[in-house]
Amino acid sequence: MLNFIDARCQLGRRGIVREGEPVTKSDILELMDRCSIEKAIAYHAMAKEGDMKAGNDLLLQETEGDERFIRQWCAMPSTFGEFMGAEELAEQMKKHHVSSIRLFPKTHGYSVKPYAMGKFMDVMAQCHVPVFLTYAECGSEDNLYSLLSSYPEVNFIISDASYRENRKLFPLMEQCKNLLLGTGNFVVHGGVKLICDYFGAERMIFDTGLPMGSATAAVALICYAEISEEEKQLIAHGNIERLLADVKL
Amino acid sequence: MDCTKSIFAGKPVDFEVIDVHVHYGDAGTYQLCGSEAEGIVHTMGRLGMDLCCCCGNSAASDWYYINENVAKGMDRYPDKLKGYVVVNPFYEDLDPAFWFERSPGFIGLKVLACVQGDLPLDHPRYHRFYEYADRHNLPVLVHTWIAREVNEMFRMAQKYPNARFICAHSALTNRPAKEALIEGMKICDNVVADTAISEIYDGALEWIADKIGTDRLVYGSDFITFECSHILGRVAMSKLTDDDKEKIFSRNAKQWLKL
Repeated sequence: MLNFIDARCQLGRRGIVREGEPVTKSDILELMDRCSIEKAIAYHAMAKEGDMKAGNDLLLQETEGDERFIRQWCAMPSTFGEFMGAEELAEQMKKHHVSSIRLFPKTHGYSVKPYAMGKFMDVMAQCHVPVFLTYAECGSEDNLYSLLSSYPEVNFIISDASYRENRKLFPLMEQCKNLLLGTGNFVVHGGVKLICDYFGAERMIFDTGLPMGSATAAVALICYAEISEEEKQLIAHGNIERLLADVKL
Repeated sequence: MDCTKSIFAGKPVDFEVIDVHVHYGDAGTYQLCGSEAEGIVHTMGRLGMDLCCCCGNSAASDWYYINENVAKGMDRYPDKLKGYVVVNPFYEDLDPAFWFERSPGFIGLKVLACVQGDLPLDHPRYHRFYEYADRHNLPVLVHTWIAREVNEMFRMAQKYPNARFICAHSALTNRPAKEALIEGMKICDNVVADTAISEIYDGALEWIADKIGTDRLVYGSDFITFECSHILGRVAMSKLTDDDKEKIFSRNAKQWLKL
C-alpha cells in the first residue's frame, strides 16, 4: 500500500473557513490517517496571512514533539531589515529543524525577479533548501521562468497548477529542470501520466493543500494514475524524501 | 465496503458508477487529453465507471459539430456512452427533436449559458429548450457557478416542473451559491445536484449532503474537462455511509435519467 508524504499542508487558524472544511490539527490528522499520509510538510497560516515571524514561531509551538509534521517556514527577502537576512534565516532554520521554505510573493507583495531575490536565493542554493510556491503566487509564467532559470541549482516545487495550465507549464518544465510539480490540484485528465512520460516521475511531488485542498482527491489522483508502481512511490514520497535528505543547513 | 483499499490498489470501487456530467471532444482554450470516445471509454475501464453521460465540449462553438461528434461516439459505444444535446440560444434552426431522432443515446439537454454570451439561464431564448424538456419529461444538465445562476435555474425548474434539472457543481463554489441551492431545493422537487468540481476540499460533500440530502445528489465529474479519479476518490473516501455513496454513484442517476 502506498504511503504518502504531503508536501503542502497549512496549520493554524486561518482567516476564512468554508462550510464543512477541516479546521484543527486533529481534523487534519484524521484526514492524514484516512488517506495513509504518514507525514506532512507544514507551514503556519499566520505566516502567510499575517505576521510572518510570529507565524513561523507558532509553527514551532504547534509541531513541537510531533513527528507527523515536517517544519516549513514562510520566508521572503529582507527589505530594510523587515525580515531576517538570508544567513540568519539559514541559521535559525537549522536550529529549529526547519528544512524548507515557502514563498508567497503575490500575497506578500514582492518581486521574484533576480534583482529582488538576489542574495536570499543564493543562500538557499548553497544550503540546498527546497523552495515551495504556488503557481498563482508567481504572477506570470515569465516571472516563474525568470526565477527558475536564474537559480538552476535550487529545486522549486510549484503547486496548484490547474487543469488549464498545460500549454504554459510544458515549456517551463522543458526549459527548467529544477521545476518539480506539486500534484495537488493538477487535475488534467491523464496529466500525471503525461508528465511522467514526457519528463519523468522524478519531476512530481505529492501534495494536498490541506486543509483547503482535498487529501482524498489528491491520493486518488496518484493511486489511479496510469503509471508504474515505482513511479507512484517516487511521487508519493520518494522524491520529497530525496530533496529533504539533501538539505545542508 | 472498503473503498480506500480499492483506490490504493488502483482498482475500481465496489459501486456501480454512473457519471452524469462528462464532456466530450476537444476545447480550444486549453489542452485536453483523451477527449474522444476511445479515451473516455479507456478511462472508464480503468476506473470501473459503467456509464458516462456526455455533452459536446466547446458549447460556445459549432453546436451541430459538437452534437454530431457525441452522436458518433455513442454509435460506437452505445452501452457506455449516453448524451445530452448541447443547446445554443442564438440558432433557431437548432431543433432538439432532430438529435433525439439522430441517436437513441441522447437522454437530455445541456445548458451552458456562461460561454454563450453569458445570457441568464432564464433568458427567453432558452425557454423553448426548457419547454421541450418539460413536454418530454427530460433531464436538463445546467451549468451553475454563482448564486445568480442557481437562482435562475430554480426559476426555470419552477416554471417547467416536468423537466428534470441537474444543477451542475452543486453550487460548491461559494457560500451564496450554496445557500441559493439549499433554499431552491426546498421549493423545487425536480432538481438534483451533481458532485463535479475541480477544486474541492474535504468536508464539502458531506456538508452539502447534510443540507439537501443524499437523495438529491448524483455523481458527476466534469471529466474530460479535467481528471475524474480525484472526484471519484473524493466521494468514495468521504465520511458518507455506503448506502449514501451507492445513491450518489448510481441509484439516484438511474431514477433521474430513467436508465
